[in-house]
Amino acid sequence: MTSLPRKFVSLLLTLLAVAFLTFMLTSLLPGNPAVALLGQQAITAKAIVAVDAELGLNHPLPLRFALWLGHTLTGNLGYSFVTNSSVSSELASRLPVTIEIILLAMVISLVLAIVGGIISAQRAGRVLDHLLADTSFVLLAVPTFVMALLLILLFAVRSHVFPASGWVPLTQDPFQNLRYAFLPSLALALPQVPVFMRLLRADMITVLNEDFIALARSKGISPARVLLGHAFRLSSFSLVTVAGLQVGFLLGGTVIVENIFALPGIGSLLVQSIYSRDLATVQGVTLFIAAAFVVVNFCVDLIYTVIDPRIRRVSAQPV
Amino acid sequence: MSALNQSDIAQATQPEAAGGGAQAQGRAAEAQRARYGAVFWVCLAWLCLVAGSAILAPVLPLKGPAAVDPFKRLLGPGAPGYLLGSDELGRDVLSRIIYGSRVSLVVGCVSVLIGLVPGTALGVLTGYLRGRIDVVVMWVVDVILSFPALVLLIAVVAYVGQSLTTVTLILGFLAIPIFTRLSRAQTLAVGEREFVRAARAVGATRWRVMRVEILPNVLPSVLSYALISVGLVIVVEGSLSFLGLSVSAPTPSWGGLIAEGQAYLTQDPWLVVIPSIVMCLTVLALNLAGETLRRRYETTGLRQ
Repeated sequence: MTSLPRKFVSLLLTLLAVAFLTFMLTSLLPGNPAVALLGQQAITAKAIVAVDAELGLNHPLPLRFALWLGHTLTGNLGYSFVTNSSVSSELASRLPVTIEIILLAMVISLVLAIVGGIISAQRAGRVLDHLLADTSFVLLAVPTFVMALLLILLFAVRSHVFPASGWVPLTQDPFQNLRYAFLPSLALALPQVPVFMRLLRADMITVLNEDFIALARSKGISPARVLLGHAFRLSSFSLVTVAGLQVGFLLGGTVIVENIFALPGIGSLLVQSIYSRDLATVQGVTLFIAAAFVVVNFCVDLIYTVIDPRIRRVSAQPV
Repeated sequence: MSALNQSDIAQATQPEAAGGGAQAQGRAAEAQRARYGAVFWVCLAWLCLVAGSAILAPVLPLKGPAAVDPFKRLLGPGAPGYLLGSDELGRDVLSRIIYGSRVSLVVGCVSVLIGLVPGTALGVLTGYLRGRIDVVVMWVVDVILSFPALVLLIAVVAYVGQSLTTVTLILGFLAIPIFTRLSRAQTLAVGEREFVRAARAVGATRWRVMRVEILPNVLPSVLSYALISVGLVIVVEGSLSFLGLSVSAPTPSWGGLIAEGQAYLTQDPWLVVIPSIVMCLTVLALNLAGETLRRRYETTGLRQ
């Protein structure tokens, strides 16, 4: 709850720290990138020195960080050890797939959670509420990769409603694109439905007990309008925050889902480059995902200030 | 994460749940708190079964997890001698699940312990002393938590190489900031209570206040969250070994079993379904047990 300039400074500092940590991965952890790059080839001292010189690994650490940061800031994430192509352009070409899956997953989980949350808040303590609560506990315990395989088994193997793997770009055929994107997004969405639903339910129950709800009801406003127009709007603030925080979970989950469904996104790029020991790509993708997560959280924080005017007025609160 | 804040929900539903007077409501809440309920004991029984069979695995009358039998390939569950069926090499699925649980349980318990001890210590320290250390530590915590855990884990494994030790250590390291945050929040809540101020007033040192007054009130919720986080760690380790980035091939692990079964999803889905069910039930049991304990201790620990 600090002022905008301070928030911005803290964002920049966090990004710098994230960049530094990612840089340290290659530089300080045991395991020599040159050895990894040479792989099956003959590893001689001479070859290692040559590779070190080529990658600039023979410079002192602070200089390397400065050089690397300069490249990164100009959009150059280095070159793949394996294909020698630019990591940035590889990322850019795969990014739309990942963004689509994440957005779709977010929409699906929010829709399911809002419907479920409103229903169970309205019937708090009754059978349907308990049933939804039990379902969400079970959903919370199912890992994303198990959920993905279960959905494949049900909708692709048993009944051929959706394809089990592959991808059709949105620009090529929007309908087919949605068919290919649906199961991966659903697998990503379902485990986080309970997180949103329980939050919304708790917030709505609190709001429904407020005086202004009783007033609205006594004025004769229809129950549906009281529920959606009055109670839901006020209850949705913390949902926005948590939805933003869950983007981190989705970024992690997309790595798994993209691999199971063979989608050409940045998650499968990360895992493939690990299998092929392509450390430059691993570093680039890691930095990108972490930075994206930090920026998304910053934006969520800003949106939160805009939609909830109460926060703007309150000055720094001791937490 | 605030999303798991069940006590808010319990509090919010209370006026509706207890129709009677305030006294009856109080007594009902007391009774609820005193008993754990059948679900809790079922969860505990399942966890004991999983942990017990993992510990006793070498003594149990099981085929070896690597014992190959080319004439007994892909038997369905319930085949004679193969209670849960056999895989593509004729290895006993039950035995592989039990031996696989050793990986999940060791990684889960050890890395949570690695995270819990320094995490709680840091949280209590920063939460009670406040000031500059608090600002710096919380900033570092925010930075570490700003990495999506699975992505960081995958990246580090890529550099360091995959082994049980590596995965356990990194997961433990990632758990430190989570426990720091949790115990700091608890410390902030407890730190201003009367008995803490009283202890200070009669001349207790800050060290003594933290050790004798605050820590015992922070530990119950930290420990019940620890159960939930063992479940979380099992899921993350499962995801890693599913991607082939945790323990290497001959050692069975739950995620690895599910990954191996994936190729047979069309004809022999049980190879995926059975280890999945065992894994989900274990995580569910940990969540439910942890949640029950948390609700119980959060209300007693922080009652006004």
